[in-house]
Amino acid sequence: MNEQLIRRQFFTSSASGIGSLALGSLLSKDGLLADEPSPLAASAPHFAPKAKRCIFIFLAGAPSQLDMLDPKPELVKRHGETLPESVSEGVRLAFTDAKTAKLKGSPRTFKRYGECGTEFSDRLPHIANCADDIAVVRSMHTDEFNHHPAQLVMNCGVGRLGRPSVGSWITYGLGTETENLPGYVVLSAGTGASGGTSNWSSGFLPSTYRGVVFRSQGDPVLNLRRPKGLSRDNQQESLKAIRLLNEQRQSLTGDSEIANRIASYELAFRMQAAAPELLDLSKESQTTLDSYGLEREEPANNKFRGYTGNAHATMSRNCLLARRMIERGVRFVNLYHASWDHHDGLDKDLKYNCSVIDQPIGALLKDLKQRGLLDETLVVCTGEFGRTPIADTHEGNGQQPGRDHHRYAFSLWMAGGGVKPGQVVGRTDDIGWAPVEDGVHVNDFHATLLHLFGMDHLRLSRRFGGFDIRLTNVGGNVVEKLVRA
Amino acid sequence: MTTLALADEFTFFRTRIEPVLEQHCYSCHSGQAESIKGGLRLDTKSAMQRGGESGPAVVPEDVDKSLIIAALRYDGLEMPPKSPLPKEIIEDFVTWIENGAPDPRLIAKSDEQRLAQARSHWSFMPITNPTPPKVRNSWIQNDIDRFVFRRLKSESIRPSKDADPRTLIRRLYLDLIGLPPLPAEVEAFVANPTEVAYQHVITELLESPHYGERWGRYWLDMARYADSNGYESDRPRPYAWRWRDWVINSLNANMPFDQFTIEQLAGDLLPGATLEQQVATGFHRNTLVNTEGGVDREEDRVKRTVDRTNTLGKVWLGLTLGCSQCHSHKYDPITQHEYYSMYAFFNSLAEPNIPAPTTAQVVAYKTALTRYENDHQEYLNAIRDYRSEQLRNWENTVQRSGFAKQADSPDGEELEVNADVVATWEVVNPISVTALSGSDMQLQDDLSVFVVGPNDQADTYTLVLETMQSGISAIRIEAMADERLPAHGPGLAGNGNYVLSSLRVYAKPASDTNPANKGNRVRLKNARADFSQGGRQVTSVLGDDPTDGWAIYPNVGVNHFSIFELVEDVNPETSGELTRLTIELDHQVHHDHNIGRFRVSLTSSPRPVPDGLVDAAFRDVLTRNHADRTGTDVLRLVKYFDYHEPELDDLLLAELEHREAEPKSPTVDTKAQVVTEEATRRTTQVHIRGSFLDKGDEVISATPAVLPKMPIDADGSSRLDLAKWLVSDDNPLTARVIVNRIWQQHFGRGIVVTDDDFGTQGEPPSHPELLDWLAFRFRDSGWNMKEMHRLIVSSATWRQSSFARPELSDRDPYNILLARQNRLRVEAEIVRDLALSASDLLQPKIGGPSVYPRQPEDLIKLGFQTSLSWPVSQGGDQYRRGMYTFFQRTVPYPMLIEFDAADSNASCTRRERSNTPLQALTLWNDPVFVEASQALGKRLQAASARAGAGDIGNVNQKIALAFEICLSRSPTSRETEILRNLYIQRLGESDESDACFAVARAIMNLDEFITRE
Repeated sequence: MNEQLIRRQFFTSSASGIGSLALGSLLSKDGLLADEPSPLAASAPHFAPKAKRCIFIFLAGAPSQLDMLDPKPELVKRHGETLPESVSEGVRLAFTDAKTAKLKGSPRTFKRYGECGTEFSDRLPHIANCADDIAVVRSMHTDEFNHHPAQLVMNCGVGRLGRPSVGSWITYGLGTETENLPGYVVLSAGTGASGGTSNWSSGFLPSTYRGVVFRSQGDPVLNLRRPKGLSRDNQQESLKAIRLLNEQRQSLTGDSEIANRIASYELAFRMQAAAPELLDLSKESQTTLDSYGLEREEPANNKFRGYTGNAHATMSRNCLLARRMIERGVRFVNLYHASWDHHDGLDKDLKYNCSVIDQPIGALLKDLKQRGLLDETLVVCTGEFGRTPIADTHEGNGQQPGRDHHRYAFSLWMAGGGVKPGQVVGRTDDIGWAPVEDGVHVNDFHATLLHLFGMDHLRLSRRFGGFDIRLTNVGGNVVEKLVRA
Repeated sequence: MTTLALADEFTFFRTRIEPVLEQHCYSCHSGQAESIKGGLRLDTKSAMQRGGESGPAVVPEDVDKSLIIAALRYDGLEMPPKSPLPKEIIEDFVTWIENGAPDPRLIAKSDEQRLAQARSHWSFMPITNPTPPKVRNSWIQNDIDRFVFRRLKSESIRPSKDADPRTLIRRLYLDLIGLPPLPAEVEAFVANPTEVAYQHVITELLESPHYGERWGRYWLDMARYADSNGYESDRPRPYAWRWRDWVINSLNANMPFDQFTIEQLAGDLLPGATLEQQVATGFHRNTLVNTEGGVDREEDRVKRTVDRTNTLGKVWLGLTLGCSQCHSHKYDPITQHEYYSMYAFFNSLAEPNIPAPTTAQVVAYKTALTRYENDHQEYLNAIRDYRSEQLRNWENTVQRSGFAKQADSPDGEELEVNADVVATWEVVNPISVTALSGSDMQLQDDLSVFVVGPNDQADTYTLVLETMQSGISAIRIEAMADERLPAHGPGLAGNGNYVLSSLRVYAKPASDTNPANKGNRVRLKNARADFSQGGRQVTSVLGDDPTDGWAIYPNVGVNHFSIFELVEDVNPETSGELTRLTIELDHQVHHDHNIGRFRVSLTSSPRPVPDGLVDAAFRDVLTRNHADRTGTDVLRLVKYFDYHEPELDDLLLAELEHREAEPKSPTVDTKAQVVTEEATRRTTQVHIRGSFLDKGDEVISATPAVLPKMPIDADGSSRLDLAKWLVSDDNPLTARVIVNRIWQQHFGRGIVVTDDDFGTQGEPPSHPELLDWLAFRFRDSGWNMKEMHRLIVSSATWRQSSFARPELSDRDPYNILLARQNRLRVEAEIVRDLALSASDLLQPKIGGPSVYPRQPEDLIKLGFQTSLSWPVSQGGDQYRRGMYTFFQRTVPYPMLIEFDAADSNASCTRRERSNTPLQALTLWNDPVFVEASQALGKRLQAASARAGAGDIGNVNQKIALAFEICLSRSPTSRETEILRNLYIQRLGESDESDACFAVARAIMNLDEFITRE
């Protein structure tokens, strides 16, 4: 069986959905279907896409929406009271007894920004300055209240291992616009997310669609250099032989993992030329470097939750690299920052964390806009869930109490990529316990995200183990309010 | 009070108290209550005594403090709320409490019901011994296949045929020893692929020492083994390998898994524990350790204990105990109390490092020591020879010099001063000795001063004496060795050294009693010493320079002296007056280089003061007839001679230097990280919400109630009890969990796919009867691991071809039904081993300290404050198997991480198998792999002796050889053609060597090369 046939069989075996997607572009661009036009090649997204690329910023550990994006003056007023029984009845939280815990008002001050007047807390001045480009969703909710399962929901649609992540679905559906870099790159600053690699897993999709992790310290990619004495042509000859031989093996064994290996080599070859250029920041102006804060120092003596690197500088570099990747056609960039799990010491740790992320993310939004990239680049910033309006009763180390995990309500924001900017979608009740208007489940959010990319979440599916599986699991409604006309 | 006379102390409770509680209280105050009122439960002894929001309901023997009595009496509280109970019942409660409130309820009834339900979960049920299905098929090789075949048959699926012999033998090698077969080994099997030959290969591989490496590495994953502490500073663990080698050796010796378990978990508690049994407990020492400044040591100890508890749960029980650390387990029937009862087993561990030389090291040491001692004897002989000749000369000289004239005088001090008298050193007897630091200055019998103190500051010693001696012309300072000092002194510094920076002498008439006046400074000159350290000359003492002084390293552990002449005599004439001398020894150069034992002597020798002056104390010995000398006399003389004979110095120094060649006892450098029990057992309390500062109920060590009971001692059971319980016949989990993991390694997927979660949230087994049958066999065979491997790899199931079955891809995408084998990309370490084997660079040495293969130089600097180092191994150690690569937790060897090696921060029972462009870059461009390809290229070149380099036959031969070496098979004609084109193209541009390199590199980058087919 030749390789094209295997690929074709592989893709056609996905019964619904995929047949109508623009896989052709991916297949022809990565050279795998170069000789023979695929039956899939002519297909396009379901409808005209607004977003073509995505920078997905994940604040792992779950940031406190009540201290950043969802101001609750009533909660401040009722600080110290217990929850009304109508709310606490039947509630299960990870660590806190909802019946005895006390409401905790935010000590933060919120201000209106931009012409739209969206409120942001004083911890996010740089991001707030982009208010007119941002849509805040305050009515998010999810199914899980422990980190790893909830991170899986936010990345893969359900809180179980083995499903493809958003980035995998998008690169699977649309391919990538770069032949020379991975379509899906993961960069991380800080301690790393508890979900680890499962957060960018391709699940049952081929591992070609898995997020490729660039190192956060030192050289982001090792072994880019060819062995001494070998020219690029030599490398290409060797690549060709490896590919032909791997194809032989694949036709014998029928293992699609070999096709992934072939794709990995082809990409590796092209990365050898493209990655050094991507990673070389010497052509960036000093103004740009400063705006992202690349030379920022870590606060003295900071040993934040065991992390000892320079999270500030790393986050800045990652944000700048994200823009450079977007410019070079990378489809999906995942930026991780951890940890935001503030059960205690909330005020102190929030200050530190926000100082890590605010400046570079603000700079990234401005930079994308200035370069005309924001229109087609969707920027998302979210955690896996929110934090409780009640104080976490865990008071280790005598620090101030923080907030517990809260799956019933949290906030995220989106910008660019066809999102209707300068607005707030959804509303939570007076104490921020649960949405009272326009509740958005993570599946709805994913449906919207795919919609922005021109894809119908019901039709982007792949048959596996007898089921047609999709990112939005069994749910998902597009949030029309979020979509620019 | 009413005393109870009952057969059973609980009878009263059972008949009179419990029924009342059940009838009137439990609806609001027990586990069956819809919502528990006032936080009070009355359905267990501990809950009742702990009480609720108002306080303890029952305080044994204290009726007044027992709130339940107040409530029953409607005294402040009113219970039951509707109406009070009859008086007799209340009296029963009073009687019960007065008699100590005996209460047998450890577990609430509602919890018992919950437990009963949980116990019916498949993995908590006893392991059965199912009869293999009676199915017939020529495909079947052993009983494993019967289970698999029945399942396939029920789905109307045919199993796959055996893989071809070449694939099979390579698979056997990779699965059992993690190294590829040599071409000759492949050919031998292919020539005769009988069952006997197949079994023979299995036997050989199971006997290979590489078996322990291959399967040991898997155990290291579970044990979260690494060569450094982790966390910020991530200090190296120089002896971690000692435990790693224990694992390799134990597996190679086919130690039964029950023993393997017991020794690692509790080897230290075995009666008469051997060194190796203690080394085994290093399992517990693989946790991360935080040595950061300012770390809360108790918090870190708690973290390690938590990790040990969770690791035990995961590795042996296949349970995610970790979730119960903070709250009762949401899914599995393990309560938070039970979690801390498990935790209690590990809560009193001491963590010493003990000397642990390996047998090989001890043997090698003994040989080397004998050799050394023989060599060293020559140095000792040289000294002896020199002495025997010179000692007599010296003695004669001294005697001739007129010393003998004094012989008649019984007491030197009474002698009249006489210029002809040969002078001697008079040891001074001070009236006071003090140290600026306040150290204790202890005067010894020989009038030396022994210094006892913290030695943490640059010290000044002041010695005051009074003397009538006239014409004092020189002062001698002796720095004396002493066994009590570091390195036997004479200094207090860790290496036995000292630096005397100044010597200040003051003199005044003793009649001047003004303590503020030390007198006139006596100037010194002409300093000399028996020995001075290079760069620290005794003459520097004269200059009073606080940055320089007299030191004696490396000549430590022996006495030294220095002599200083006075510029002018003290007491030039006999005045009969007492003179007070104040002598200050100053040590300003370092804070800890103070002298540890010293003695001061004076002489009135005529000038120039000779070197050979003897001590007054020797007068009698020297003047005694040889025949009259005792052994001690001779010894004293010899010592004294050594001490004062500069010409002997060279020989003594040579002898001293040669001591450096003395082999180091392996007990010094080879230690083992082990655990023992602390002298007193800590009490264990529940950590509320997992916070170690928030202590709840006290618990004793015990195993979860859902599992079969282990015998409980009054104060809790021991780690040894726990280990034995894990491998007891009753334990339903351990055998299942372990065989499932062995299976998982052989098929890429366990019979239970969630190999670390056999709880209610895990996946059920795909072949439950097969799992039980294997587990039963495993236990029944005496936990024989090698036999389990043999059983599995002998099955037709395992031998199947791994080719895809497209017709099943929809029905069984994960190959759960086992209608074929799985192609598995080999583990990170083995990717490396394969490259080094194919290139013949591999250094197959088993065990020993971890090694440092080359990596990008700047990488290690990413570690903490660039404090880590990566001393690249030299020689063969550069080419050791991947598992010996030093695992630095914060900066792991990148190739290993790229290929999904375990990060060692927590127990890992199943690795991912990713496939990334970064892996391609590694195999392609990492210098280690490039070197391996080049070496293989050279092998190809060397092996072809025939014809010209471009000759087709020759090229084909090279390609065939490379295939046999790397893939254990011959290339197809198409494969040969592809590589020949590459070869010829490269040859056209360059030379044969480069062309061979290109072919080798291409093959070593194939998917098949790093895949166990």
